Amino acid sequence: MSTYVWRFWGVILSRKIVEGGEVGRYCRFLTISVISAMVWKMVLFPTGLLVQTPMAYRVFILLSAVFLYYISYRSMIASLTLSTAIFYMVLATDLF
Amino acid sequence: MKSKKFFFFRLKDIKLGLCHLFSIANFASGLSFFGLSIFAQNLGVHLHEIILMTIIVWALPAQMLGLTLYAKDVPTFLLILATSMTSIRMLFMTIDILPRLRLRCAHRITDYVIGYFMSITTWLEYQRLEPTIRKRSQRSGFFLGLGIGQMFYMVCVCAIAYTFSHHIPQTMLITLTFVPATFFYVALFSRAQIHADYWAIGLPSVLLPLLHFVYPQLDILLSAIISGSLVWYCDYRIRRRQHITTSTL
Repeated sequence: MSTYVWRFWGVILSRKIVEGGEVGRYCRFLTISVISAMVWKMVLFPTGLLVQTPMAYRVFILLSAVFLYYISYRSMIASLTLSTAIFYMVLATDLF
Repeated sequence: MKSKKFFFFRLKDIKLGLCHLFSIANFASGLSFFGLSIFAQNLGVHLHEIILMTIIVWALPAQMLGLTLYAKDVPTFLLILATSMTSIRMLFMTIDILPRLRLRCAHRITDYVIGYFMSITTWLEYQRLEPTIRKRSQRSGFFLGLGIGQMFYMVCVCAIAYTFSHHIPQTMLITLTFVPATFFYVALFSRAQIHADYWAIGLPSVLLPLLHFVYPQLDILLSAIISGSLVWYCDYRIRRRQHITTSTL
């Protein structure tokens, strides 16, 4: 029920919104910000298994994934594979 | 020839969405369910319970928080309130997507069905795939196909992770748990269309740590609202100025 409240309100409120309008644009920015904030929360203040890893490693891997994405001609597969491999190696060997 | 329908949606469009079942997005987000399954297993939650929870709740952070609070014996009212606060993104995502999918002649129930399948992964995937859909009338069915495919995939991952997680080395498990965060962040960059999108991605990285120390429970929400509003306002002002300059010339 707790998640459906927002979905329900989203459906109701979206009826008044015109495609390509200012409210839609505003919601797009909010969505991007909320996803970005969730990722940073996971990186800076994690719960579960990730607590066992140093924060510097997580920040480094996240930023390097973005860097790898651009230098690999916008290849998502290359970026994810390489950053995951680096993270695994760093954790397994405790390089830094 | 009239195409077959499934609950107000055309089967042909749903199949089109289902074709993207084995995408990088599903693979990467599926890994986050490894963490959930292991966590649930440690709490003594059964496999069928976690699968049912995935289908009904369909919001991973809410599931994680719900399980954490359940383990701490938090009262039901507080549990609902806390999980509700983590799911506010559903509101923004639904408002962003629905006007693009809706048809004037469509039944209202279709909106609620689409709202049910809303998640970060479907939102991100839809942003990427929308230009590939030929007709507007195909969009809602396509989105439903994406959602059904994703839910099916996650349920399978949950079952696999629940059964085999003990055989995976700890370091590998930690690495895999971090893949979804990396994917979401890189996907945001890949779906960014205008300069303002990049600002909306970057601002929360500064605001979230600051707000975490002031309001740790509301840090995500507050940083998202402040960043989103600020970016929208600046973007609006810039567009307005450009419009005035163009019309003066």
